[in-house]
Amino acid sequence: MDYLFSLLNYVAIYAVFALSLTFFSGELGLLSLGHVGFFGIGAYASAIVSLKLGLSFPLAAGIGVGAAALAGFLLGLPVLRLLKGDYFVLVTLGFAEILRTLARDLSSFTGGAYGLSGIRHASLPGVYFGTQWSQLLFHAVLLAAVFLVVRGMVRSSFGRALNCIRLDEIAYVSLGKNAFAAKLRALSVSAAIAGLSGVMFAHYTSVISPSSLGVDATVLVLCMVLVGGLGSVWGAVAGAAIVTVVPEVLARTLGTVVANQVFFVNQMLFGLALILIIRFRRDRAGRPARLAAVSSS
Amino acid sequence: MMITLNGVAKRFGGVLALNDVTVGFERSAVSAIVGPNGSGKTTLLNVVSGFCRPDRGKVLFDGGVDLLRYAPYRRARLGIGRTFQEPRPFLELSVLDNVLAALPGDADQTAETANADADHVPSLRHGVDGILRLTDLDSETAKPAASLSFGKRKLLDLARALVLNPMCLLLDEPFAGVDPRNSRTVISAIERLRCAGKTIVMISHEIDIVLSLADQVFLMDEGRLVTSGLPDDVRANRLFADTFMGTANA
Repeated sequence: MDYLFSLLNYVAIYAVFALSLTFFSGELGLLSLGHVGFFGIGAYASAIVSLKLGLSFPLAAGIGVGAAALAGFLLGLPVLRLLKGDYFVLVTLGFAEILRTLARDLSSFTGGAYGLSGIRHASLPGVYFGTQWSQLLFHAVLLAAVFLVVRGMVRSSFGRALNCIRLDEIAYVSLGKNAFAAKLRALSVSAAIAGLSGVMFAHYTSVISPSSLGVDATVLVLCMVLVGGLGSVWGAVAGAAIVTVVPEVLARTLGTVVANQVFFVNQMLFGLALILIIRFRRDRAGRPARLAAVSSS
Repeated sequence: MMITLNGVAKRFGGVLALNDVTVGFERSAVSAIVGPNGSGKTTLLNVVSGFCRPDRGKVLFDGGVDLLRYAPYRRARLGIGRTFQEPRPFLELSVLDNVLAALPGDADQTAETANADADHVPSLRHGVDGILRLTDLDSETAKPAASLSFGKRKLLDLARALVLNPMCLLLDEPFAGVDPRNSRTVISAIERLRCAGKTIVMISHEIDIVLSLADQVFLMDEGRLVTSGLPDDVRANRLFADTFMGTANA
């Protein structure tokens, strides 16, 4: 039973992560490969202040989320103003790699390559989420809250504005609308949500290290989002569940060694998902769509 | 003058798109910019609307506002609306949602809330209805913009620009690719906007329409302003005759 709870906990954490990416990339049409950086900032910031300063979980989580949002804002200030399309994708990838390198090299703060361990599980005043099922309950509540917030934003005037920017940024600007401000707000909010998933991860596994912030983590969350359908709020949750659970089921069926070292189940799934998506993906008007930004024109 | 360009130059690589252009567009008049392809007409509109930054020169609006200090979206808020050579409606939205998306207010406000606001503020709703009638789109409000013909998309661009209630409207090729019926709608809209005191600056190759509609004509070639004046005066220019021969005299 603990195994099932553990699996569901990971699904909830990754679903929050996937929601952050599907909100930003789905609404704006700007593909980000840097969201694992925000995930890492949330995880490390929360872990550092709780381990080194002894701050309570709510405070540490708030700092983690706030640090990720601030990073999104600071990254967006130059990047969203100057870059579009494929250049934006490359810079976000570089951003994530720089953060992973910093996490490895600033060892006095981050624990270096081994990372930080012994991070306390989540808690609220009077409640300590120390068991798998209580953590699942806590993560489910956070996931539901993030789901409602993201769905609300997508349906709000803010989401409509992002949709118009995705459809035609020049036309949007010509109507007297500040596209840059809307994009910056979207990146900051999205980074905050990715940071929250990092906080959840660090306090659930009690460990955070640079190995959790590699390109494979980016590919993992990207697969979740793409499997569920870029821009789909329900799809992000479903994609997180599929991409998390299927390899585990196959590993248990075939045996871990056979699944991961003979059939390379995860990599096969990622590859298959990407091929299918690239082959069949359509934009909302039903036309063949590119993976990178529509606003690259 | 509503808009004045002083010594404006813009180079794209080896091409001098605008070469020391000095020009003024009169208030409450229809000014037409004509000239061969590649003469710098669209670049000039882009410089005024902010989508292209000149290498040098000044662009002044409404008696002295230095437009170069303003981002494109802020120029639109100042009262400079525009349409594009290729129409740019939000294809996934309906005609009505396209128009409502342009309603001023919160910078992020678009169709859904704008629609609600328009319903609650009769003058806004009235304005939108009037614009849809003016552009002959009032019977097609529920249609997706993607289903509109090229000409109707151009009219939708015009309708959306009018929602801002601009003091000055920049129209890039409003008649190109537009059938005669829709062209008449555009002409009628321009005439009514001029009567309402709006300043219209349009680019067009439809010389018959230009000569009958414009108060001033500006002839450009190779990034320079060749001549300007009343339609009949410009008509006498040799370059004008060379460029539009057979059309002008038709």
